[in-house]
Amino acid sequence: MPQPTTKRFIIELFFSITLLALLLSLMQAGPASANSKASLLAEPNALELTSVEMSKEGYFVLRSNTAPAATTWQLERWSAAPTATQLNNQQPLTLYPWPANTQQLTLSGFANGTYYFRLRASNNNYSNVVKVQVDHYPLWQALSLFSLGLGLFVIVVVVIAKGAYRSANATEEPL
Amino acid sequence: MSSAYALTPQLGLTLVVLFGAGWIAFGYWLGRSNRSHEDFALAGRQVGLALAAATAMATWVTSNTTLVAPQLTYQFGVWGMVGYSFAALGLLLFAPLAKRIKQLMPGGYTAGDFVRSRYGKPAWYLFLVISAVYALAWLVSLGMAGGILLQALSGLDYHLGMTAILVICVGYTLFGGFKAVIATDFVQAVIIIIGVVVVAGLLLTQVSVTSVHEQLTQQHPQLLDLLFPAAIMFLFNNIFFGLGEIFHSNVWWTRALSFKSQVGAKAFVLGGLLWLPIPIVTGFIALAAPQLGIFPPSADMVGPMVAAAVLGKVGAVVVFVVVFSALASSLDSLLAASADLLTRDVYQQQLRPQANDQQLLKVNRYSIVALGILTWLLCLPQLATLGALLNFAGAFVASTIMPIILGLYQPKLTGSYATAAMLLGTCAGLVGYLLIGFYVAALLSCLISSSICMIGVIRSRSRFDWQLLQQRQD
Repeated sequence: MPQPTTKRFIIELFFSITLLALLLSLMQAGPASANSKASLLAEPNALELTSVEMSKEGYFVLRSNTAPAATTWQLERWSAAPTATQLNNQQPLTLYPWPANTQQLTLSGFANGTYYFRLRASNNNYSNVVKVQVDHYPLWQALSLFSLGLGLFVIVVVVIAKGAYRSANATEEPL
Repeated sequence: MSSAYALTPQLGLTLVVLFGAGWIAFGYWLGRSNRSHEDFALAGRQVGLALAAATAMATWVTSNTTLVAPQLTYQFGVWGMVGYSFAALGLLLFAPLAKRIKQLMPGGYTAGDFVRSRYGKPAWYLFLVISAVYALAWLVSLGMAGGILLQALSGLDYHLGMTAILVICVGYTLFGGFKAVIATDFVQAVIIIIGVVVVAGLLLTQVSVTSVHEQLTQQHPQLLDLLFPAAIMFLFNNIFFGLGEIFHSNVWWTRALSFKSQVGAKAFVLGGLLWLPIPIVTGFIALAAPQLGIFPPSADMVGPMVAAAVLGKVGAVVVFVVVFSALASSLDSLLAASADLLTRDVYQQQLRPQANDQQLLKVNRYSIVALGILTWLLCLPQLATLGALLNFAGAFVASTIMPIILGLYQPKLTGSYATAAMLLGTCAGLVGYLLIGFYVAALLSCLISSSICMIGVIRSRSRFDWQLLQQRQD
């Protein structure tokens, strides 16, 4: 049985680890300003779009420095880094309606590739263009973790099943 | 403003007031027959199968199922939806454990009672820390979800919705105790099942499965990909997170102890089977979002936004009632179970071993109010997202899975190995959370903890005498 000082040390250590991890996790999920900004064509206007540069999961959040009063803004997706001429004369690949009264929009389900976005306000005021690189985890990494999880899960189920069977039959044999 | 939200602020406020007054009055009516601490904390240990299955299912339908299940589907696609429904495995696998708990400790009160009696005080202290981290993370996420929901649907200030759900749940739990928690869970379970079926049915009249599939294939192909790497990594992590939540939490232990003999195992199996399809339905709502031109500000808002947009004001009211019921059914359970843990494990065990029944009853009620106030204070700044808060707790709770299972069935695992398993398992989970991502935290935590437990069983020379559990309760 550990001494009281040892017990206190274990609990204090555990609390410290918890607090440190919580602080670090909050910093990771921090505000928009903490994310790196990829600005390809910085226009001299007030509307500014930011996002993460890299996504390993195919989903990401795009943030604006201001919010519309109604759903009148649109987010444009471009196939390649557009020049100023292209931006003026060509149509984007996709348009996403920007939600009212919010400064961010979440997109998901993107395959590996590079994606370019620009925000268009109702009064034809445009943001800068941001680039997001989607690069999913290698499949072998994902399948390794999957196999590990499956193996562990089978062990958990077997231990419960054997324990339940033996307790139902009132035996005290070790598992 | 009216074009931006499905409900007007006045209607949102009216719903909150009606909802709150109804639940608190119901709790007061149910609590009139509470005479002892055992009545208040465990409903006299006489809960039957229908109420038992409903409370198991309704408590497990929470902000996770109604807000985070669509969120994970929006982020991880088909695997997010199917994988999330696997959290039902937690309830199904807890069924035999519930039977064993009732068999070993018929007079027990809390999960802490078991850990202290089985593994000794160092493991118990650590277990209380893990329980506190998890309970606070869940309480705060539920309070925040109430605020976010009301804001998303009616534009009412986040702080108003958050305060409302806390006041309502503290109110009826305070008046009615565990009886109120279980009875409201039953009503809430019926509301949730009917509401989810209505929303899904009406959604299918607006969009077809074929059109949703076509849209996703063209614009969001990864959501349909069964070899989506992050989603594959997420799958078992989510299962272990669910197992850890249920196996360690006093929310589920109080249910196992309060159900009549022979009811516990059946109730958890029935509750799990009732719960299983709900994330599939709420997840499908999220898959329909791109087809409807809905792209949410944050992924956890996608469910209410789609339902409100497709079904209009009626849909928004249905969503409000369903999600508020889901939040309330979990929040009340967690308040009651955490207050039991404070009363029994902290007040009675540490501060006042000779406390009489009326003193315990009073402290239990004070604990509910104190937990409500603490949760309200922690919810005020809205520091993290719902997902970040919940997944952080995954690293902690998954470390308790194997110590709990082996503690119930295997006499060779000692307290020192159980303590080391929970401590090192949690540390491994936190390292994974910070260095890789939330989708590996629970898996790594459970892996390290289980390995240490297995070493402990192999190396152990002693055998725990199960009779000691009963004697230590007495």
